[in-house]
Amino acid sequence: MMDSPSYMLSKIAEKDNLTVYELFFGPNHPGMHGNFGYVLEMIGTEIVKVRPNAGHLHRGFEKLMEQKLWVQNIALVPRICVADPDPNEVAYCTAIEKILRVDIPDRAKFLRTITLEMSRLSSFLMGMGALAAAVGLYTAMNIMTADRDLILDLFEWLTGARVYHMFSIPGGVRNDLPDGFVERLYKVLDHLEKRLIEYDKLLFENPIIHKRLKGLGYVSKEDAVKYGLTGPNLRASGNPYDVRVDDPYAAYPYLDVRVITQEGGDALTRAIQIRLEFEETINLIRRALKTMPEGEIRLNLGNLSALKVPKGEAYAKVESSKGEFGYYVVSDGGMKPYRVAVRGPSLPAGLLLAQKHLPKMKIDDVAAWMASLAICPPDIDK
Amino acid sequence: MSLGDKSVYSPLTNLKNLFKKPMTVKYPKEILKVFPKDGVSPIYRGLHTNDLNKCIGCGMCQRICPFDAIEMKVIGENEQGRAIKKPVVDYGRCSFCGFCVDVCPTNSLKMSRHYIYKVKTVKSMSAKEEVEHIKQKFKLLPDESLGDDIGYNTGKTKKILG
Amino acid sequence: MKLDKESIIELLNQKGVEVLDLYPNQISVNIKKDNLLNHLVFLRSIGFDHLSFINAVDFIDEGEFELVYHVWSYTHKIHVLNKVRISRNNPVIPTIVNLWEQAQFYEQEIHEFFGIIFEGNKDLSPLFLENWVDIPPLRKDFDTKEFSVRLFGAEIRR
Repeated sequence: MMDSPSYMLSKIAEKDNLTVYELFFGPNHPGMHGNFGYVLEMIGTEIVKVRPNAGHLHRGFEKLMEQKLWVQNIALVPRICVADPDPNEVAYCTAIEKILRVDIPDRAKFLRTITLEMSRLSSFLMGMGALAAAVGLYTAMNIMTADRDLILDLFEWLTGARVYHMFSIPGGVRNDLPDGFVERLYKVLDHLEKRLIEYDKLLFENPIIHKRLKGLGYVSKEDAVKYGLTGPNLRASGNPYDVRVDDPYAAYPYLDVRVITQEGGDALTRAIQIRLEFEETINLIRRALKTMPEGEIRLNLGNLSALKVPKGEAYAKVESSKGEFGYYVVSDGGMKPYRVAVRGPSLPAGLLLAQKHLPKMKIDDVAAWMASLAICPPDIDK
Repeated sequence: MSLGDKSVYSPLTNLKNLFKKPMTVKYPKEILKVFPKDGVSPIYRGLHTNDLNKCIGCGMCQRICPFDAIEMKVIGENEQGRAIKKPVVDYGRCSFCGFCVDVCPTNSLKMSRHYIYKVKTVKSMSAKEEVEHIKQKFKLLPDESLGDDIGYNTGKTKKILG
Repeated sequence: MKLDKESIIELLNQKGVEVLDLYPNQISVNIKKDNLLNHLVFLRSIGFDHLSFINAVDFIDEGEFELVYHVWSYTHKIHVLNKVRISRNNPVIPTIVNLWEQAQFYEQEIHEFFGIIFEGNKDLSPLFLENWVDIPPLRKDFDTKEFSVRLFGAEIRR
């Protein structure tokens, strides 16, 4: 420790009366994804103290949703997570359906499941790409961005838009699968499965990523539960918990969801966790397509633009690619929600773990640490 | 994930990428050929088109619009002396959610597959004037059509809203 | 040991709290402010180990804030909404940071948006808003339209 470069640097800094300086890591930092920042107090290249600097993207969604009709909010909720918008729509609609105490048709459930899993694939590709870019492997990022486009094409075909699909509405979904969609989806899945070999070569078997990520940001099995981590981060620490299995929604009760867990809990394990779950998601979509029933895609809830939800409250959660996305919806029996509260999956990692992990870390590792925990600032800000 | 020793020649395998088709299309010269129709998706939610003969000016689209993008504009009077109203879509506000199309009772309002909108700017204008100019122009007015290639519409399927 | 929903409701009833069976896997519990910490400690001791979320609801007509502590058990697979009502005029509630550390940020957020004071929480500094001078913005009596007209001179169409 005494002869480590940062210790030496701190000694030099002390001699020159330059002990601690503040570094704004984000929102205008190349290593930061999204409009978020950490104010880092540094000695040399080592972080001493961290202060999260959120709020650059705070759009007041929770207040805004109280002023709009139930169905109008569908156009608003996907904006809470740009990379993975579908869990928002499904969680919001599920919460409404819970208060209404209705059960949507099976085909609608499967269509929601398929869009959720496709969204998970696209988000994983973006996440893996961000991780690759954070350690300087830009080729992998470019390939993944190109492959993500194939999934966005499918979304465009199914829903009419590439990023904000607005596909789920209370009572079901807006469109049925177009002709030829399933065949193309199978083709894209096969392509992605073949591409996995390429990803492995470029990213996951690359010595650079092993050297950079091994041991970085370790979370023990107990701490992961204690700190409220969810999703792949929780499972990479050895906890076999998944909302899709524990509290199933949409069509997951009918599907065999395999929960992948790994022991390890460091950034490398989390990176490999995403890769393994990516492979499992491809298989899950195939299983869902095989078991998808025919039938109605929407429940008739009367005039949706004048939908009234009875007095009550419900919490609905969805397993997004980053963890548990939850919507707590309160209705006073009117045309508009009384209160919608959104639980984003990134808050425990992005704010709490940052204060545990970042001190003593080198500045070079912050971007990789963030990407490995899949911190998505928009759902901290909302 | 194993970290086995790799062959010295393994970088050469990347040469195969030289003979692969590119993932991108050169946009104005080529168009995307992934959907049954060339170009964007057959149900693309692009700029609106409104069939004025069918539009009854009921204002449902204005009421459902989550972002206040639609305004009903009076364009004349009918025989009984009542105002005829037609929707004006402000694309500075529109989020292309398509709820106005879902809610339209006569299926007159549809979305086209066009998504490029050009506003000619005048060079002599100051920056402030230009903003106002674009604000005025960046709209779908009742007497103009921005595209006739119908994309998102609920004509064939059952009504989604309303 | 996995307990089913009925036995958890019975356990909580024995403790003297009011339980509402809402949905499959979801129950709602009304607790008193003084009983909050004891109740959460008890829940944690029987296996409710995941604090998923804390949020507040402003019931302005009743003059009360409702704080909802969302607790999930990985063993019993039950989600409990722990609801605490506090007065709107004197919004003070004990902090639960010592129980779950991530509560710090939820409490900071609620303090910022509702003005609820968490007794014992050392850091209630603003997390999202900068130089906010008006009343906390997620309260029901905060008028966004009036605010944007006053601050930015916005035009209101309807």
